[in-house]
Amino acid sequence: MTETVQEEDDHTLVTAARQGDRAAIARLYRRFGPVIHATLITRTRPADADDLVHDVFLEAIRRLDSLRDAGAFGAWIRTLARRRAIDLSRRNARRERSLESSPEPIDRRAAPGLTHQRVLEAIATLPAAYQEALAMRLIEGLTGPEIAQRTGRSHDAVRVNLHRGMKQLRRLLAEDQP
Amino acid sequence: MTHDKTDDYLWDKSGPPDPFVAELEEVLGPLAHTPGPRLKRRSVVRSWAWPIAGAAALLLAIGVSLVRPSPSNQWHADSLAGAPRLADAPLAGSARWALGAWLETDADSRAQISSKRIGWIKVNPGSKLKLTSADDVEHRLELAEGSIDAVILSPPRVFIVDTPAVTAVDMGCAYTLDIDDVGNGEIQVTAGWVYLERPGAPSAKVPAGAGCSIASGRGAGTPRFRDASPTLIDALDRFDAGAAEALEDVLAAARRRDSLSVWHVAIGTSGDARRQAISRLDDLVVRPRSLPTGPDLTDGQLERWWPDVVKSW
Repeated sequence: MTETVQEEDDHTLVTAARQGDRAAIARLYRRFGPVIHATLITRTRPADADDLVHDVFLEAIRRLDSLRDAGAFGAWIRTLARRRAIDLSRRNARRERSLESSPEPIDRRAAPGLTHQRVLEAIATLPAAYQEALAMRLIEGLTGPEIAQRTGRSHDAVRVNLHRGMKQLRRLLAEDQP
Repeated sequence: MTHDKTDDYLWDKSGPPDPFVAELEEVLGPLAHTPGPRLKRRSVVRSWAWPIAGAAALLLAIGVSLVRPSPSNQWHADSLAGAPRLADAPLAGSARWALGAWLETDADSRAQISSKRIGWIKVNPGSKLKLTSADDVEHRLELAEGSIDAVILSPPRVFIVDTPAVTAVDMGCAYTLDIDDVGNGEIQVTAGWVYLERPGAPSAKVPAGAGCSIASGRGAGTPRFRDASPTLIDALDRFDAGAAEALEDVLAAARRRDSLSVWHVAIGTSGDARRQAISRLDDLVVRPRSLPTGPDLTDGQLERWWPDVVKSW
């Protein structure tokens, strides 16, 4: 598969994907895989997020014909991802109740300094818009303009989410330090 | 709207790095999604080193390296959950998947396999599969049992899965294949097409939105759309199981879109059964003018009708 020099917009890719164009599907996956992953990892365990990216994308392909505005693919697939994450959380909660086990308390003294677990826990307490923006920037390595393009949000909105989210995250992690 | 310039690194990675942001990137970066192997994680397992000692091991290693797939044809296996096994050793993180090595998942484990040239496949619990070829012409897996969800991005007929009962030939691009340990199972196609092939039998052509049963000793059943009526599905299941009397129920329950199933019944039968199916197909899809009239058509003539059947959906 060769990459085109100029990236097609989402509408073009989705339209081609609907017709079974595999190259378009591949490009959609490369473009939105990180977005789906960032949406999931703020709501599930990292290992579950990796697994669910595949499921969410498969569901999106299956339901592509139901998407009215092909240009809104990014927002739509994030909705699918959030729903999957909620379903998984409910299943995991039922499983934990049936096993009558409770998660082990995390000993914060055991591993001083930043760990991905601590940072993810802190991010998970932030408003959803901040969570996703920070996950896309810090985990997936997307820039602000890329986040705006793939989520359909304005540059200003993404910038505010990143700025405010980072401010709150900084404070949370500073409070957390021994 | 004016912006705080100290946020530039956070915004678009320009300007001097913010130390705190940079530290978070370092801590969280390894969790980033990659569709293929997670190269940032170390693979702990190297236990599929050759079981033969000494010079024989060296010769074997050289021999294998000569036939190892080129980088663009390589496959990698990633553990998603539990403890999958690769070449009889635990798979932790990511590892290259060598030709001939079995990948196994138990009831609690899942894995993902991927190749840049082909796509990616989720390996569900209770599965056992082996990579049998990976070159510029063909990539082939043997699925002994279990379930895989495949998203295939290669051209048609490059990616092939052998099961005990049938060979699934990808014609693009997403499907789920589920097989038990004796070769019974089913395929459900999400996008594109999959052809199920077996020597001496016509291909079962399964399109997106359709599925097909697979039976050890018999091969592929009759493809049917998932939104077919329960009456048709029940009749097809009985017909595929060998109940010839179910043919009438199949033909009676078929709507236009079910010409998929009726066409396959026609090409998979002979004599009166074929004639009945062809007559019903005439009700559902206009016969091409190039074909002779009447209910007696050869396999080749039915194949020439196939494109119009597809268009009718």
